[in-house]
Amino acid sequence: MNAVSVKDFCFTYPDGNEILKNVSFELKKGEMLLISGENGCGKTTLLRSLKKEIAPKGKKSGEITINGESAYMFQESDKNIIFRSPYEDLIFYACNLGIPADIIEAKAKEVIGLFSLSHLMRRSTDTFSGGEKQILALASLLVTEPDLIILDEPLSQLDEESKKLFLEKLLFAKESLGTTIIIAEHNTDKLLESCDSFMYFENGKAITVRSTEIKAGFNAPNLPEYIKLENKLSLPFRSFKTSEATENINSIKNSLILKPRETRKIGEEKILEISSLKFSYDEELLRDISFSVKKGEIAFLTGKNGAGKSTLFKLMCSFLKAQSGEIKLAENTKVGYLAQNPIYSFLKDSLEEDYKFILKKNGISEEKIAETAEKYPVYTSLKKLFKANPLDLSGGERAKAAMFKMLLLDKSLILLDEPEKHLDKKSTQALSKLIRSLADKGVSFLIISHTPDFIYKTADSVKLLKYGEIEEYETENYFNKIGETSLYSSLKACNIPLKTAEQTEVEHG
Amino acid sequence: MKSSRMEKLHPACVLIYFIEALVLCFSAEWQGLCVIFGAIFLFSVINHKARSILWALPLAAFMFILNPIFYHSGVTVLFSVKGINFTLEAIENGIYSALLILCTILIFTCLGAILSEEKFLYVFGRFFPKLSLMISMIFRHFDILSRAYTQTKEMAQMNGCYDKNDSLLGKLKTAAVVFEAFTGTALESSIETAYALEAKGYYSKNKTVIKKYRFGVWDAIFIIVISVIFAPCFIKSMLSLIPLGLFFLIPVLLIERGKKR
Repeated sequence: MNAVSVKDFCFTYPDGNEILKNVSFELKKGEMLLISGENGCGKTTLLRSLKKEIAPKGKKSGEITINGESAYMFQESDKNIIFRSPYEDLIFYACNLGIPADIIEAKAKEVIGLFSLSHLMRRSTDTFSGGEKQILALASLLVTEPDLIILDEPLSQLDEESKKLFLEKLLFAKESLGTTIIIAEHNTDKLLESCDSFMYFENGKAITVRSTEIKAGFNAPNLPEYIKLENKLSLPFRSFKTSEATENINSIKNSLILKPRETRKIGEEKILEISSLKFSYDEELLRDISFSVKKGEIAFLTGKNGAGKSTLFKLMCSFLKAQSGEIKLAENTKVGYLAQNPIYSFLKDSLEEDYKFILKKNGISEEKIAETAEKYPVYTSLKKLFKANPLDLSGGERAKAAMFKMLLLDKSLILLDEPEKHLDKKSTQALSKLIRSLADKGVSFLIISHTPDFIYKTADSVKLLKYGEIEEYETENYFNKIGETSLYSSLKACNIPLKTAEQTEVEHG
Repeated sequence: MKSSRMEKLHPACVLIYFIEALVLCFSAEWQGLCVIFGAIFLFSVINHKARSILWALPLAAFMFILNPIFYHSGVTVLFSVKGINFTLEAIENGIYSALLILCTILIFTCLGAILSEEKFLYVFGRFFPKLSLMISMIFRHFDILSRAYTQTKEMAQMNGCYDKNDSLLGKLKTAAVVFEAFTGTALESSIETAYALEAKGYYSKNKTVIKKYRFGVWDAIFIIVISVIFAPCFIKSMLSLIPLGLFFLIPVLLIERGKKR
């Protein structure tokens, strides 16, 4: 019997937008369906329709059958957590379902053991990292022993390490508890090899493929690079299994050498120079920070969660004061800053009003808007959105619109805090292009990011923040260094699952 | 914080102790307050929490000085300056107000650590389940919102919205715009929170209540002991200072030695 079966499901929003057309798929118990597609293609609508409590309102047709209880997990980690006390959160869902108290207690104990959460249980959820919050949210769903878990982009806000940890737990639940899983995710690379079915949206149509059925010639934007490369090289594709992908690694390596990374020319003029900067909260965080950013350079700042990257930004914006050391800006340099969620940078109900307000506050005439749009050709398309409410824009558009504001104010050094976090692959690529084209016009960037793919495609240099100190690298060198071999790093940059690369390492060496 | 046996007691016991402590604090004379202050201060020093009263010291000192200046009634005149009498009663009153402030702050910071928010809501939630859920959500949202507000403000600052030369009205207007923008986004995100609650079955009828704490023998003994000490604290004699001191030393006496959390 199928755990989930959806037959010719169509959905039309009250405003007449027919977002889902004839979606059909079937899942057996313990199987995993991976759904991928661009922002706004109907992933969330589909997922919500599967959970009747939060099903969106609109015209529906077709049939959805789910055998057993389903549980739903949201994209934003803050939404999944309700209490400060983790235990309270863990049992909240189970209590609401009216499961007998002794069963809940036993189950909670089991899940805490299985997920090794006991160290988290003593802390307040405020102090949790995004990854820990998502893991707790998943654990709270598992206490109720659901037959189906629906996850809406659970990984989008996590750094690489947390992603790995979360996936480990999710796959563990699938294997050991036999839970059926439906997961929507932009970044499919790490999931594709574990899923049983893969659904992607193309031109508004949902296409479902069993992992074993996928053949060469199949090309979707979210497919991992190595599959696409194989297609390009017209290699016969066999399956998604890691071991088999490994066999083709040499051909992939060759193709990577054929397509080197574009390098940009940068002048010698320094726009920012930081020397022996020191900062500590209760404990020493930044010990001896020294680095510089040149004019027109795109520098990336990377390092583990809690290494002090955001603190360094706050020091540069003078929200915090350093204990010692110096931050020297070149003459007439204005610093622009975009925090993790760009939505908070908009103060008015439409982009135009917002731009006018900011210009007025800075004593600049409104004509600057047209002037700036002309100066940076990438922004000619933004005009259409001027009347829109920032809340209605997609993540990519928001970042773009927020950066336009900095150009209006002639900011010559822009600090971005994980701008790619909420974006799908296509928007990330567009953002990468935007940053590069602005840098060509002389704007300098310092960007915090965890995504190797984004760094590889965008960066001129990488600053690695480690134990309170900065190590500076050229982009190529950085990937060589972190992977130790160039093969490893090229694979990583192409988002080929690390597991594959590690296996190759063993085989080669 | 050092582990205290009090933390393992039933929340109701801790809550009763907490309320009795407040009652004693507000009904004590200045001599009593000195004893209370000494006892809780000892507890706060052991737990490295003594710093929490630092910010209240100027306020307490202010009360102490201000009282004799503006309050002149009393029978025991100590000295007079330009015809204004400074009385012993006024100074005693000053000491009383200052000590009362310090003691209240200490009770809330130190003893409040024993009666955690979780325990308070556990007791409270039995009687008002919906209200208690709401309170705990407000606690959490306060953290989330304050983070969001900082982000909004910082970015507005970087975009030159806060001009030092602005008039007061201008500054207020900017602050209003920033606050409005932030509440707009916050409200938008609260819709999502409502969905999350619904997905977690918040609106279902048959909910399970889990008894996380069970009322045991030690809880009963604790209640009896604090009641026995509580009553003689109200005797109108200096002797009442002994049970009073003992009452506030209970958390210190119950600290488990050698254990750190």
